[in-house]
Amino acid sequence: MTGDEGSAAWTEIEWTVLDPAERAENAPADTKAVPYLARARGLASDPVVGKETEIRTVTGRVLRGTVSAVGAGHGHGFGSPLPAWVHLQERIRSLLREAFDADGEGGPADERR
Amino acid sequence: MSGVEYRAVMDRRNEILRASTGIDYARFTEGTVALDYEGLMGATGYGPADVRRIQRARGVGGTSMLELRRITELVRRYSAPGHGARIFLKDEAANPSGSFKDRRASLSVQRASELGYRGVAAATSGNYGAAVASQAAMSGLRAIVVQETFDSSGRGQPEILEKTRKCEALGAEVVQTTVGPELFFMLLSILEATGYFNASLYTPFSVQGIETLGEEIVDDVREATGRRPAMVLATHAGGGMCTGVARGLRRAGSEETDLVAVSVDLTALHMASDHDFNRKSFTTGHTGFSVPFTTWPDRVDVPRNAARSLRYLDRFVTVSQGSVFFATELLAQAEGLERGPAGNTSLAAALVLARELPADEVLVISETEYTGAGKTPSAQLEFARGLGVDVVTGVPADEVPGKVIALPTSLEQLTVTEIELASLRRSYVNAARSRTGPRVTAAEQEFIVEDARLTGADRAWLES
Repeated sequence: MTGDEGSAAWTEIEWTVLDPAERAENAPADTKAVPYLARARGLASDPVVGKETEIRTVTGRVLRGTVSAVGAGHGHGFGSPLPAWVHLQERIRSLLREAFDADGEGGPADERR
Repeated sequence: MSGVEYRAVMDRRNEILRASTGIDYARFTEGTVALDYEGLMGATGYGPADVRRIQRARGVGGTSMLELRRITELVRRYSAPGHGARIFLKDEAANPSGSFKDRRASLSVQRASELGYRGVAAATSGNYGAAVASQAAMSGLRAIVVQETFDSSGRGQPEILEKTRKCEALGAEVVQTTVGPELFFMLLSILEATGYFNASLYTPFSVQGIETLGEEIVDDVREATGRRPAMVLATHAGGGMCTGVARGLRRAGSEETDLVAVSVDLTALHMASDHDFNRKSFTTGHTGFSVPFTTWPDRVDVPRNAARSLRYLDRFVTVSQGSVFFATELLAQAEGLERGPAGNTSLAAALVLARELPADEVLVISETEYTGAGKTPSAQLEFARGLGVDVVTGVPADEVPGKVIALPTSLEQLTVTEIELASLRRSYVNAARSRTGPRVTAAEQEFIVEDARLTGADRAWLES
């Protein structure tokens, strides 16, 4: 780290914790066949994807690894509905209509008690 | 990092754990398996009134108990006359970080703060990470969450990626790893390097923090109906919720309530397999945790597990992944509550089990969880299909974990599968005996009987 935090970029690094030969005895075969990897994010100066760098994490730790992303964000979303899911939603709407709309009110359960 | 370092850190685990939990576990153990369980639970030094006070000050607990009136009405349409219990839901999503896990994190962070630790660390891919981050932020402590996130191709489930985001939003550092049992080693390394407090899910602090949930369930139901709950359903992963809720129910005088553990059926998928990892559409609350943890609880990141559910369970059922997705959509459309889906595992079972009870009885589902990007059924199902899992319309029996998710389309299609407690108790005894060897001391025998809740023939079988 240069200490010049103004020019630092939010950076994700990856490093190999254990090679396949070093992995835990009790890991299944397919897991033992691959290395144990870790990723963390923090600030780095002039990071370049694919190059070694140091990051300073939000807890103040300094970690070293290969840059996997610069300006690392979160890309997960809500997904798109698959046909079987759309069908389930439609079936639930219709079972609610059948159960409650015939009464003309929509929510009589509590009044029947 | 190297294999030599791995073994060296693992060899130092007992001293690392003693320094990072403030608990000397050796004080409560005797021989190979015996444990003074109530002594361990008392090691927090907090009484029930302390726990309530600490949680109230941290905005934890006191969540709403909601009656699911329309769902109850629907279930009664498929029940025998006079049957179909009133279904209530404890809206734990209203806790500060969006799940009941805030109860578990609250006491650990309180103790870490009292003892002057600068930070807390925990290994979890679940909502617990956000709870630790949130509680730590409230106390001005730093937080590191170690999260099993990826398979070897770098793919992560959207549900877990959301938990990474949430931890970071609450100010925590997240260390993501690929699949493997070395997660424990990563946690130990971080605890040793930082000197932080180990906010493990399995300490007495964590389990005692859940007892208020059981107490509140009794109080809320009494206020709403004047009755005690006939049945409480709690999702079972490592057994913390079932253990803590049961202890709370007992403290509140509701010993006759049946406690039912519910897990998502992921039979045949290996927990630590790089290949299977992303083919589970539920990352916790499934049989990959619940079966090994009931039959031997001491497989955790502290010397002894304070979550020991066989002591308390009255029944154990599993549900299919598709059934939980169905329950999630029903909760949204029938009751206006968008939650889960993982937190709706018990709801899926409730839609079946409520039919067994008379209509004037009360069934309680012990939790909800927040939802959002990555968690929603559409996100999970699209990800599963991308890995080659078929997502089809079908009944629970059509589901094949890791290969087919079958989405039901009516309440009458839903089923639960019973897991026989007697068989879990026998597996537990075998696991205990493999550790004690053939010569079981009187203290060990007494502990095994108590811990596996052995009675009658099973007890005689152990003593034979």
